[in-house]
Amino acid sequence: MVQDNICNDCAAHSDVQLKKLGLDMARSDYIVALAGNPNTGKSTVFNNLTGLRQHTGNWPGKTVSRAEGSFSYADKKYKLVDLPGTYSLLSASTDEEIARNFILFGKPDVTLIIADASRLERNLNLTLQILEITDRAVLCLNLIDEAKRHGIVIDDRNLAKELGIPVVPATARFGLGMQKLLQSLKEVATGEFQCKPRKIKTTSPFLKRALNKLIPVIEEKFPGISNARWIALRMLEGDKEVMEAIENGKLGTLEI
Amino acid sequence: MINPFFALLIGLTILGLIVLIFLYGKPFLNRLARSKALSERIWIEDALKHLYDRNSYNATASIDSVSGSLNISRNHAAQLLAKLERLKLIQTQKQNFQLTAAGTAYALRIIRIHRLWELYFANKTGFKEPEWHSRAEEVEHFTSTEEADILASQMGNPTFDPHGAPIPTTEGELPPKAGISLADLEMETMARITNIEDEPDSVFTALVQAGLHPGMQIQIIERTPETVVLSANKQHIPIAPIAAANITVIPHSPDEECQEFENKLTDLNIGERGVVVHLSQACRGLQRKRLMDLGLIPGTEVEAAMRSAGGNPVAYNVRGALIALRSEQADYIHVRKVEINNGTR
Amino acid sequence: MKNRATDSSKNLNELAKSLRWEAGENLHDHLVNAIYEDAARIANNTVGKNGDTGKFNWDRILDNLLTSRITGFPMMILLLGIVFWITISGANVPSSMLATLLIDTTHPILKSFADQVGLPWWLSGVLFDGIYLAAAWVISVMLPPMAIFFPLFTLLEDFGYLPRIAFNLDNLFRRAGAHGKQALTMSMGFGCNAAGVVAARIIDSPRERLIAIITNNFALCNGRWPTQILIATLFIGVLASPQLGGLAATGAVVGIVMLGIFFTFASSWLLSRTVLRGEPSTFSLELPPYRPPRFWKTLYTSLIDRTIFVLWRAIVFAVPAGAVIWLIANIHIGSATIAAHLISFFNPFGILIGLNGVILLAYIIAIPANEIVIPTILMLTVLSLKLTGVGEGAGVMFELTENADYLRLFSAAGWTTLTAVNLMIFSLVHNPCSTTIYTIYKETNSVKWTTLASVAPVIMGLALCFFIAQIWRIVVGY
Repeated sequence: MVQDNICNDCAAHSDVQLKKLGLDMARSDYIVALAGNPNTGKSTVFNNLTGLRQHTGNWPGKTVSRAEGSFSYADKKYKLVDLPGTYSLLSASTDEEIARNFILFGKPDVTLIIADASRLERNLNLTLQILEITDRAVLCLNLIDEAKRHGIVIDDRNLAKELGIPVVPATARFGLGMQKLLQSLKEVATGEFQCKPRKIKTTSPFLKRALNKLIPVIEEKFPGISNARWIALRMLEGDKEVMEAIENGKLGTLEI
Repeated sequence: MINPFFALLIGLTILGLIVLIFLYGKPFLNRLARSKALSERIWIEDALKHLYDRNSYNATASIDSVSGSLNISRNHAAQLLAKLERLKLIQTQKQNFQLTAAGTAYALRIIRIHRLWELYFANKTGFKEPEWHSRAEEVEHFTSTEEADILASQMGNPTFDPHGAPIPTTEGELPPKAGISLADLEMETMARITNIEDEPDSVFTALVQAGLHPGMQIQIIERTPETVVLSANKQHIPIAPIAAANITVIPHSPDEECQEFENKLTDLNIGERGVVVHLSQACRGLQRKRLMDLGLIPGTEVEAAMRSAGGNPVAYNVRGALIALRSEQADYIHVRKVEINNGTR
Repeated sequence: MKNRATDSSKNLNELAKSLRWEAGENLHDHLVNAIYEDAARIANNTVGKNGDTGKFNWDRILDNLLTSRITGFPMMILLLGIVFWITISGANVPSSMLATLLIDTTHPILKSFADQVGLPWWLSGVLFDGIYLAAAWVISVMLPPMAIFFPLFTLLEDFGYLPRIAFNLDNLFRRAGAHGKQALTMSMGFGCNAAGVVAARIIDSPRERLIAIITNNFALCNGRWPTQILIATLFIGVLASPQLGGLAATGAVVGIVMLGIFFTFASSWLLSRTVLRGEPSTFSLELPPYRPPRFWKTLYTSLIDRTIFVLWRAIVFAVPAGAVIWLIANIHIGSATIAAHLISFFNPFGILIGLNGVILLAYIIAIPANEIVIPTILMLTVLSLKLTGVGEGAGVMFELTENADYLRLFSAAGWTTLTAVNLMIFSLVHNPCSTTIYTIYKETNSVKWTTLASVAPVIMGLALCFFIAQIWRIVVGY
């Protein structure tokens, strides 16, 4: 908060300002996908950045349809797409398909993952799945105040190192941490920050063996592909859309 | 104005008729809809499935076995087999009926469709286990190969049906048969159930009711001519020897972990904790995925936190969140109780 | 080039296929396990506990109070009771103020304005007597209770209490094949069925969500409360002694609400065992931590999101209905108006089921909003009796101020206690208003379920009225 005020006064930084643009979505420079578990304050972050007022209830599953809004920051316009809150991207319920397809095929410039700091472990489930799909992501550790209340301390620097993406602690209800979040979004969107996302380590001997066989073939077929492992996993699960995308070569053009 | 007695009478009659149609209308309409040509095809397809089954177990297929399995007269069965022979779908070798290549392909196509539908009913609908097979039997004859392919791709081109049997591919490929019949399993060898035959109905239902399902770890602890006693999850389950022949198992490799558990999640009292050992294979489809997404996977520590005022859902503390589960869900989750050591949390 | 590409894709898919035979059906399990294992590893390295957690666990204490077997239900009844009481007692004043402003004051001004600028009588009739009045009625009846009810409900929601209600009541709903969260969609339905249907989004199991949507109509929405209260006061209240009249009327209304809840459970039970048996079903209910709600923000968003949203939809649907009501009461075919023709067409059937032609016609043209049913019935009654000196003229909806005036009018039209009872029943059990029907379609995206949800209750209502009427006539006489 204090930081924000300083910036309000200094002319030199007046361009590094958040402008909430609400529903004005004409020609945006970057697209940001907003993903996260249900009831982690995703909508609050959305409202905070865009100035819109989506209802935010203390109740999992409020946002069902996709909501979009936009804001501008440091002279660039961002379009923010609020995806349905899901626990995972693997169960193929309608919500999850919407979220998965947008991250995979909608090619967002950054995926902003909102996690509940007081239940980090369960939130990492979705985070790790998203990092398998996309290279560019920022993790927002929301509800830090609640975590503190429960005596939970998170080493966010270490977490950023483990995950290979920027991690920003925040309390979106009171607008805390938003400035830093915007900065991180910008850095990832412009490529100033190069993410090295963590890939899931597995101890299952079968999975290891199967992945070792599949990944080289995928990489050979689609040189330069970034999420070969994820595609291999989806193939093993018999994902219809991914299988088709491979058969008609659509995947290659999409990913490179 | 109509006399109220009279009106009431008419009203009740109409109501009665509606209830009757609702309760008994469906089989009647089915019979009307099923033309003769169609029912002939259904007999043929059912007979082919039966023959495929027999052939693959190297058991003899005879007029008697066909009439028994399809529940038709011997006369009808004989006619049916004659017809199959004319169509060059089967050939006779010393009283044993063998499928020809064409017959095998046809049978595999029907089996593929049948198993796909079973999986569909198991994973994508709310029907209960005993209904999967009979519903699949109903629709399998009305599904084209193309429709079956669409169904398969919608389910992610599955490889196994809910009873653990492999689903043939469009080209009629099947993986090499793995496992042995439970009847051949040695005493006190740990093994995992891979398949439970869904026919005949009565045997299958008995096995399901005994709590057996694919994925379960069992061993035989007693074998007499009358019964085979299995030990599974520290319970003793007696089954008939004839039923044992309907179960396929894979003996454990030495490095495989034993999934022994003592408790279901429902056994935890409020305040007690347990570690998830595994999720019963009987829990399928959306339900299973949802539970896993919530973090109920082997190794997770779960605490029974509170019981609802209504008594039934119990809220469990799972990885930091309070998740309410109904008792029938919590029954699927097998746990090992954790001794409480002076309240660490 | 293309060929080679497809060739190698074939190989790739072949390889995947053979690996999948090996994997068996537990691959998904392996995968989720792997992810969680990794998540646990990361969490272990980064999350620390800050010793002093022993202080006070507010959540547990609150939960012990709000969900325990002894205090859970009384607390629930208390909290919901307060919400409903504030809504009902608080809505009366602004409601009558709005009615005075919009109907008694603005309407005559608009009419005289129309006369001054010389609008043709039919245009001012359609515009001000039809469309304007319908919209004004919907706003004055609907807005105040919703503007009170929804924010209160939303406060409970933001606090985190609503999931606890679902938790407490789930056992009851489970037995009817429904989801505990249906308790909340039902409560929302007492405010407005369209809002209740939208709220069913919180139920993530397909079967239970459909059940909640289809049965929401049985929750008596606030457009129907005034009808129930008026009819109960006029006809049921007078059956008891004067001192007990109010009590008897209240009892009758409560009885109707209870009947509605009974129908909710009964039809949920029936649906889950018949047409919806094959829909997939799963149960999950997360109990979020309690959070202090942010009062003003909640007030603002619930007004914008729910109240105004629902009100706007209702007005959009009420406007054409207002026009239709005015037109059928004013266009003549032969010697009589369209309305008169329709009334005499419906009358025999209406009488047979213990209602009459006016009521049936009123329910058909007032589909858009239950709020305008009573004004429409009054107008049509006057029209069909060809009375002069009562009401505001053909096609102009109105209400009366004195109960005695209502009674005089209704008995002139031949209403009996049976008519009143059946009207109360039919008001509870009939098709949802068109706003709700449209919302059901938007939410389910299925013509099939929308049709079921719309048609089944009308048939039920008609059948119910029919049987009550016949039995009444046999037992009580005409």
